[in-house]
Amino acid sequence: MTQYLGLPYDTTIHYIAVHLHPFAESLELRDLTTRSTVFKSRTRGLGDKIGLSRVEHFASAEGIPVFQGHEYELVSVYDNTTGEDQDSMAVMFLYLAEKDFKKPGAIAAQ
Amino acid sequence: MRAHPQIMVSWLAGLLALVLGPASTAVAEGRSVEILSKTYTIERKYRSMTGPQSMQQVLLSAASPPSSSGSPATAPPSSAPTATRPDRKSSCATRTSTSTSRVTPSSSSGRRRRATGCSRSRRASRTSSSRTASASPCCRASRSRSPTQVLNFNAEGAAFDVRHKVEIRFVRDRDLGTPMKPLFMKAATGLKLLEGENGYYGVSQPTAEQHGESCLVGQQASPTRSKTSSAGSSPVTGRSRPGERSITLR
Repeated sequence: MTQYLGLPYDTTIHYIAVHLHPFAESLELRDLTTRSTVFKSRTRGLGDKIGLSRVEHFASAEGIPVFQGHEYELVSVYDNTTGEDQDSMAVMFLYLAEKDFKKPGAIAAQ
Repeated sequence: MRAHPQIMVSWLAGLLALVLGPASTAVAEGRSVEILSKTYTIERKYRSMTGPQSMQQVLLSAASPPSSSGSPATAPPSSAPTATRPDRKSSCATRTSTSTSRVTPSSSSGRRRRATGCSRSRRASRTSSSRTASASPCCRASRSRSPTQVLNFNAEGAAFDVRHKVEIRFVRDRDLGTPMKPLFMKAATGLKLLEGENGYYGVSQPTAEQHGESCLVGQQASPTRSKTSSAGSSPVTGRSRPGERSITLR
């Protein structure tokens, strides 16, 4: 997934939204280079019903450093208790600090 | 109309909760737009990604100025806001996203990047200027898309109606009292092909019929439904089998 992520430069993560499907227990973003966890999201189910009542997100003004030259991996954990196949999915939407943003000219001139 | 929150899925709804700056009461300058989806009638179970869905367009420039009541402007279903002339001088710093087709200013790499739509922005107070909030910048005249979909894993034997209410909050650049750190979005994801030789990856305009269902934003990676029909478990789109708990993608 490091290649798919395609970090353009070293930067910081300030917000992570996590998308999972029912029966998911957690989703973890790991830095393989430093052998550390960047962020692990845990879920809460709906008791005796199918679904997720809560999925943890991340928000930080300081941010978590991530590096273009590092290798990352995603680990998703599902526990399908139904006895039949279920759809599964796991995505982290990372909101990263942009270093080279320039306001459009008309706005910058205000 | 009865609401069944447990079966309502607002794509990327979690993004709307983004709050990065210090808590403050100085959000009065912020504006917002409410989008009401069409009404979905649920008569049976819908597994993930297969429920009725729709896409609405929204223009942030249609948002009303901040009011004393704090009530956001409301975009009716199935119609875009009615602003007709893009206000190129109006931009906003935004927090998050529905998916949009906006393209941000080119980065130094020269690549055009699909960016996100808009939502809440400033929490930084004028009196807290030593701290900087973060948000996703976008052009207020951009036409954003707000996709909604419902699913139903549990309810049987009764028909009921559901509709989404999506609120997008933003603050105009000219109203910022403290610097805003611009953010861009990347999706940390991967694809595990569960059957067959080739999946679909990097399809810019995928369709559920041809490429299989997917919840990804922008370009999607999804094997076809038939290719995932007897799967293991996939970090992106697939099936989780009983007894198979985890999978790792590098």
